[in-house]
Amino acid sequence: MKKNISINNKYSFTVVIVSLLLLMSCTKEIKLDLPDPTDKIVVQGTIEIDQPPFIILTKNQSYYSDLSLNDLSAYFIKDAEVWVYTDDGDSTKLQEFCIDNPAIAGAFGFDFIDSVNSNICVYTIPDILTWFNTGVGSLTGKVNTKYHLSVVSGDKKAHATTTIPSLFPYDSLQVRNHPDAGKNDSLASVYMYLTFPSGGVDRYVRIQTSTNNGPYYTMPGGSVFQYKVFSGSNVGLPIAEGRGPNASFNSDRFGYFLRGDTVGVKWSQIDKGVYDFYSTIENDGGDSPFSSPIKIISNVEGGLGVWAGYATIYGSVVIPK
Amino acid sequence: MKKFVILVLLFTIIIISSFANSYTLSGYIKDAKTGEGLIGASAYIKELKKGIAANNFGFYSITLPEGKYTISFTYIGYTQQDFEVQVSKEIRLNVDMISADKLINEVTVSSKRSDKNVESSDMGRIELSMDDVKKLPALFGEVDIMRTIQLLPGVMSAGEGNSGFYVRGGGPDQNLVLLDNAVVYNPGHLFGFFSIFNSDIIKNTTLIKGGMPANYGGRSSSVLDISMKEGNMKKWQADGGIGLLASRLTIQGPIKKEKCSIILSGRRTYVDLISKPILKKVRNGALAGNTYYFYDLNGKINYKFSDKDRLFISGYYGKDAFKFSPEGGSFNADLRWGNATATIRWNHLFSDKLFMNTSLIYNQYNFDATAGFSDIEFKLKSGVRDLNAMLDFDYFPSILHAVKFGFNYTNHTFTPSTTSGRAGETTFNAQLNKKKYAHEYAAYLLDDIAVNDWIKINVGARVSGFTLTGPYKKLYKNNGGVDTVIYQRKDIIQNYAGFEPRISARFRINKNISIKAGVTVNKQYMHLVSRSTTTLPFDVWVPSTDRTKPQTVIQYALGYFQNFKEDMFEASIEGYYKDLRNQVEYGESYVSQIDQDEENGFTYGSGQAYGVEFFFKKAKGKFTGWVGYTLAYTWRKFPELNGGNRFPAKFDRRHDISVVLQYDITKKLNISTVFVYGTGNTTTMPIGRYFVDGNIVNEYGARNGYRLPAYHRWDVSLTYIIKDKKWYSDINFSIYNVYSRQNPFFIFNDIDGNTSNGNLTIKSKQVSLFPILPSITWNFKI
Repeated sequence: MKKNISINNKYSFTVVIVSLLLLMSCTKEIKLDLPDPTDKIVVQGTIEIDQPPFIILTKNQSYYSDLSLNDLSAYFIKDAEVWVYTDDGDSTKLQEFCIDNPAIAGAFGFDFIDSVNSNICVYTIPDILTWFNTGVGSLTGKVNTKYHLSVVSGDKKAHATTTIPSLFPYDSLQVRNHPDAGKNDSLASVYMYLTFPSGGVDRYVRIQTSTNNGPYYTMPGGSVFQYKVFSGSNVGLPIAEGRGPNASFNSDRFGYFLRGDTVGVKWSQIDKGVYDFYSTIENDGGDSPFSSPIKIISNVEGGLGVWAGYATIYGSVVIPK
Repeated sequence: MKKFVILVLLFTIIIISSFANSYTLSGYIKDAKTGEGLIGASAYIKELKKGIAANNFGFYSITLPEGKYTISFTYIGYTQQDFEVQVSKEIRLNVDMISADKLINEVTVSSKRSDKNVESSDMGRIELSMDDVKKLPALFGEVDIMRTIQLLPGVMSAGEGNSGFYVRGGGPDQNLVLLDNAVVYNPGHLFGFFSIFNSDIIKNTTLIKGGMPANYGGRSSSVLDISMKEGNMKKWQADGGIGLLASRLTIQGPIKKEKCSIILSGRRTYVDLISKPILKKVRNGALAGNTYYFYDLNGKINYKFSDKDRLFISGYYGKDAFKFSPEGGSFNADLRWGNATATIRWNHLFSDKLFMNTSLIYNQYNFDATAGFSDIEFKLKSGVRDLNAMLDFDYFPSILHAVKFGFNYTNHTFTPSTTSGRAGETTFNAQLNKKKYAHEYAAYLLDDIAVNDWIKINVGARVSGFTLTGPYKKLYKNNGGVDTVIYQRKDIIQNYAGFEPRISARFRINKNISIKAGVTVNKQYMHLVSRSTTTLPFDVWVPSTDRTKPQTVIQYALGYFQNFKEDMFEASIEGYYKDLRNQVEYGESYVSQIDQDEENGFTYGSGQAYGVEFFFKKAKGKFTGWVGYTLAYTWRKFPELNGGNRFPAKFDRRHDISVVLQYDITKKLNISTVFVYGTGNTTTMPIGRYFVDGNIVNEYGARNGYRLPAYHRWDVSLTYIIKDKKWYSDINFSIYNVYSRQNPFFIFNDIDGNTSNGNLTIKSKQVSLFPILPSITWNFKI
């Protein structure tokens, strides 16, 4: 039984080396004279099966600029003209909603909204409330469908295309004891089991996990994988606890959950554009004697960020105490 | 090939014309105490005002018209030997040179120093004496030849404390590093902070940074040719040293006097042993499971069958071992890497004029790593292995010619990054990353011609070839898709051939001044494409293929050389221009993937390097040293990088200054100092940022468009000698970075605050590795 997983091992080894050097070295702050970047539209957009599109539009900033509490209104792009359409003629002009809801803001990665009591502005279908109540909306995601996104904000335009691939369900989530269970009886690992169909093609996958019904975050090893499908093979994929943007690395528990945790898994099929975006982000180690910066591949023409179609299956498992 | 044949015919005509009524004086120039051949020792005929240098085994041959001559044999650090010789028949004269190390033997150097600097037709060739190198300040007390060569103009350090180097705008893979003729693919320990060369085993070091003679090939920028000692033919001897980081011991002596000798040498770090008790007490022992050490083993046997035949068998084996295993942590890593070389050489004298060296060489470099967490384990392997056969001839038809010709064949096996692993009960292998096989061959011919008293020309050429063979999977684009051609074992996939003319000439203006010029063409069929500025253990060597063409570098050099005060002072100004073609880099968005060939991530372009090197050296007296300054520009241009615009190379360093001074205070006390200054390295910085999923994403500016602060450092060392008639000992105190300059090693961007509090700021922080570092080393010789 064989499988190919695109994981950058060299990157992991480099991280270890750089971490050790940082331990034995001294650091001081320096400020380089950097030019300001050209203003661009930054897209963080998703469309999932049976869900409407959610688009957050922001602006890129100077590298050293502070994220000021008083400056958030200037961070979001408001009053943009945003359209989502398909090749089949389905077309919807999205409407801007500014939501003062920390849970929703956290789900989009804007967990600071809570503390500053400010709105997060999301572009979505005009009949979003109907969709919330009935599950029916003017435009929701369908498998094997290509979705185009068009954004116009002032004199700036951006365009992106994504596809929601077909679903590829996993078989099961299973809990395993720690290999050294005697000493570590409070820890356990979770595996996802998959059976690949015969005659498959390349697939791109994004996997995120949540703990105890919190937001879905990226696992430490990265969230995107490229699978080459092998007919009839069974694979056990280890699931690690996702880390939020402000979380610190805990090597003691790396790869494990606590007994009693509810582990949620967001298992999504994605297209190559989305894979390339997250793959480049997650492997960018910056400039050092041991690595070179990686230029992020965006599927947004005329802008930055990602417009991502997901064929997602949500699952969870409770680890017995 | 046609050009090469014409060249051969031309040489033959020249050589035949110089045969009439002459006799040959030949022999070996050796160290009187150890019997070691002295590489490059000079034999100078006073009456003719002409000289010749001994070859790599100390053999010399001079063919002279009948007559009486005074011949002076000289070698740096040895007393001059003069002989009056009546040449009326073939004469064998072996010369035992007496070491003039006054610090050891209290013998005054009586010889006049050679004016090789002005006299030779070589350009950019420097030989370093280990005795001098050992007196210089050393990082952690570890004498390192590769760090010393970085003090020469035109040679740039790869970074703080790093033994890696760049020569005249060439990449680290463009340096041919040889140990007893065996190629060393990764000459660094501890991620490049130390070289693999144990100072006690080195007999001779030659650096050629321009005007590479035709007997060297396969790399396009420079040659670092290191010869191991042969072993004392006369008596048993032990050398060693104890330092803060490592200790070393060398034992050498005659198995049979004047017939067979052996030398064995070992070095090992004990950082792991010293740090273990400390790590147990730090952070409640959380770091106790981390260890690192490296070791080197060198050995050589030489057997003298007769005055005409001699056999050398030498080898090197070195290893780095690094284990990261935090106490209680689930993530762990175990990395091991190292080089191994073995060389068998047979010297044979066909005649007094024709010397042959046959070499059979095996060399390999392997990287092997395992990392894991929980129930998951990854293994990563890579490496390169060569089998090499060389046939080299030195032919001395007359005093006006020193001819070299030879043949070389190498069988390469490349192991690209091959990953395997296990996740629970599932195992996987990267099936696409098969080994690659290639054959490299070359024939060369060169002649160092003394045209007249004023003009000397070193002219030669190398014809090289490279064949990539199966098994191999070749991908090519077809109608918008990608098709595959499968090649079976020994199928020829790609052939390359190259003609590499090399010429340098010396025009002697007067006794003390010469002007030299040279043009060299170099082909390089192997590439080390790296995302790092230093040579990392997991960097992968790859062969030229149908997509990755051989690198071609054309170098033009012009120099002015002048000696002063009876060759006490040497000065030179050398300018160079390099045209670098078929250069290879990773694409801007390349992410390594275990199931894909590294080559899929390559992008191709060209480069330019030009600069001027100033060098001033005081070679004699109690006070010696040099000052070097280089003004250099190094550019790269790749259609797919930096928007197709020209950008400075990672190692583009505008100004580079080295000051090296040594002073013998007494016969027992020596002080030396080194000062270096270099323009800051280029770096690529993010100029903007944005958020996706709450994470910061970098928006990078121009490639290598920014510079780190300048690098400068001052080191001092004091060597005190304690000796007896039977033994020698010295204690070296070194202070590295006397004024504790915080030199930039790299910068990283630190996020302060967080998005949760809405107070996020990003600061660039400079990482500096070594503050002031005193060290002490005890060396002994019994």
